[in-house]
Amino acid sequence: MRVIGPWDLGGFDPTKSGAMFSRLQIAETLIESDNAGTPLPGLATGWTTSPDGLVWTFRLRPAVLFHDGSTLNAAHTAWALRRAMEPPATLSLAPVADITSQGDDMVIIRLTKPFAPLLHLLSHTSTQIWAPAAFGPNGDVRNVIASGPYRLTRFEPPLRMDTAFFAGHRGGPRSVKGSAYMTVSRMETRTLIAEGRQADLIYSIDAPSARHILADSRNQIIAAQMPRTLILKVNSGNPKLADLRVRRAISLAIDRQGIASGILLDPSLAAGQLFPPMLQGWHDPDLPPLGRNVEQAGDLLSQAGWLREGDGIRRRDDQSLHITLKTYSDRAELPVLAAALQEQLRLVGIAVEVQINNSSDIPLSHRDKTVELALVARNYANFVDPTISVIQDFGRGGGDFGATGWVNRPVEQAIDDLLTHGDPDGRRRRGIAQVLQAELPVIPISWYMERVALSDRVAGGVSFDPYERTLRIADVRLAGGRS
Amino acid sequence: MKLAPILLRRLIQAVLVALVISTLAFFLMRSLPGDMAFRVAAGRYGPDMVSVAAAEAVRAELGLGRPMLEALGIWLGRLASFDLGVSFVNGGSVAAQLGHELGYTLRLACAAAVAAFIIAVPVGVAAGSRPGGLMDRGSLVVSVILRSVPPFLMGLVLIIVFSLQLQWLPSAGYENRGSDILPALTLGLGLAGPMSRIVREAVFQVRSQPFHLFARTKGLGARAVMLRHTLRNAAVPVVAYSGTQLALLIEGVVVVESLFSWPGIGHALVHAIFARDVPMIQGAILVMSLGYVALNALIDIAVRVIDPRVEEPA
Repeated sequence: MRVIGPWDLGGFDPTKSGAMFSRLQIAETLIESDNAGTPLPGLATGWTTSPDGLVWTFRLRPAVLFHDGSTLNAAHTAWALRRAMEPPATLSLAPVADITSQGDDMVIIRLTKPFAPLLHLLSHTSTQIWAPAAFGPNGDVRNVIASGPYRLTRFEPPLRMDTAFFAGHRGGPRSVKGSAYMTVSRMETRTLIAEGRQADLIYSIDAPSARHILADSRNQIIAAQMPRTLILKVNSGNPKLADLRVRRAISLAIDRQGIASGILLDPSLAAGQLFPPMLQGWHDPDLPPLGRNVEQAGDLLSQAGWLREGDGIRRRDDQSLHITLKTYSDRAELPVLAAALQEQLRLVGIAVEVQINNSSDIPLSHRDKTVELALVARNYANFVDPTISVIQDFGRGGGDFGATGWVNRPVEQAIDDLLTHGDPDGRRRRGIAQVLQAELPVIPISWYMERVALSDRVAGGVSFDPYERTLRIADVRLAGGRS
Repeated sequence: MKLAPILLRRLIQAVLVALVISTLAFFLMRSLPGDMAFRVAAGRYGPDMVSVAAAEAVRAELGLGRPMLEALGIWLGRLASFDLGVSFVNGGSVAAQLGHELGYTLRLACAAAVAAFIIAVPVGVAAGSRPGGLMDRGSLVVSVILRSVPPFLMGLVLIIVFSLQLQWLPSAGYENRGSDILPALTLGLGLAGPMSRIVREAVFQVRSQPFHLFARTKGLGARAVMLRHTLRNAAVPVVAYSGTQLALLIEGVVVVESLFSWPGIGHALVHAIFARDVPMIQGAILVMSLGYVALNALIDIAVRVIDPRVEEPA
């Protein structure tokens, strides 16, 4: 089966660039998760927590075979997880004291303080468990030997990797006997490949291209909402943006419906609040949605002292309301969206200068506090449970893709409580979502849709992992027994 | 015919080019906007996972905080020992990756050059044989168009026509039957435009020489004159000119490889620049510039073979 996606192949190391090995189902993690984010058994079949929440014990699945025929054991698993703790790998986000093994099939993780989302970190691709023979004596990676239903047969970074079915996997036979993945970074080329049905699964198709592709009735597109929100990151420490009235005015100036139906071609994507409906527990259906009201936006700006001048741009004292908006072109819709926002803000008297650069400039300008507005596509489920992203974005000091210069003690307290005690009745999460809606440390614009184009050789079984961990190739059914 | 002086001169040139290009590339990389550690982190961990922590880890691991001159010294020292280092992003050996990619780029470049010759020589000869004729004027217009259309646009048009409409060839990739044809044609058409005009000019010049008229008067047939006299004499400026065209080829490779997802050096360079993968960038630029010198050396030799009368200036 031929698979095309925009994802570059990095190196061999699972802690650094393991994502593609998970996507093509070469490697597995201790924990898996379903679409709702509920942890499911992976290489671990069960787990228990001590009453104080500090000791987690995992029981490993028996008789798991690696691609070289060796078997999964507890001592090696503990070693692999300790290796995945080295910053900036994901496991370093948890307050881990140590990771040890007990017997052949128990792995024990001790924490220095309770950390409710630990299970979700163990489903992250950077915590894949590879075979002992994959590593050299210094822990350096020599080969890709893991335990997934497919094994690696060819690896040519940054463009090409192939897999073949691994008969020793517990799942039994699959319709897809192997896949050939190719990176195609240009949206135009991906669209043309899809139009010509020259591959079986083509990922990351934007809305206008999808229309094109569907013009031929033999083509199919499957779309799903993803836990990603297009937001305006706001520097609330900036003198112009510190005033809540200015942030609210910006939010009121934005025509979310227009953007969703005109640019993203799907009116249901207009983000009335930060968290999309699929993030249950975080999305609050009772929250009054953010909407557009140009008149009210103008009044708020006037109240904040920004008055319209002859050229239509507002001024206060000697300063005019010029704001820079940074964004990047990794996602085709962002520059277009930035231009739309520029025009919508101009209508209320804010002059926006759009700067299109690399996505990494946003964390950089967060660190040196030079950012004013930044348009980003934020994934709230990098670690399945949005809690970790919320800590990163709205906890102390704000976040690279979250708040800048925004301090809110109740939210910080709620986050601490959430980590220590969880949130059985959903009150803490709803509380945080309400504050974010009222204070606008980031301004939500739209939610996000992911699309995959299918060739007519695919008979069914294609589904999206909203957490972008796996392409679920093993579930795909091909027509006519072709692989 | 002495080849040794040509090769020696080109060898010295190669060393100087390596030195100048490497130093220039080094300073250009350093003067690009943005923080290198953040860019490398984005390339390594993916855009969703870039954070200050990831960037700082990258900075410490790769020693990006070093003073500029110290870093330049380390790079030039490695270069002197033929060590291109390892990629910042994937940790693999730069030399091994470039070796792999160079093969694909050469394959594409050769195919493009062959396509250009196949198109340009007959068209140019026909145009030069009847200056001012329909063929001459028509090919002038077409060659101006071919040279002016950016390779990116040319590639898209070819994909739409041959891949989507006619369904003869694949749109991208490098392993299917015929996957070389569209990228080679994209580059080849761009080269063929100006090349056909050079051929036309050379043929026209040769045909107005007294020896050409003499050959005809002594009774040689049109075909024999063309093969024995016209083509050989016209070949000298054409071959010499193709040396300058190689620059066009190298420039085109970068765009065309990205468009067609062709795993060559041009694609690797674009990729490495986005991720600020400095060793890969420096390695790719070095290989491309040395390739340019090597191809020019080959052209020098070819010109000598075609016309042994050309002597080195004293």
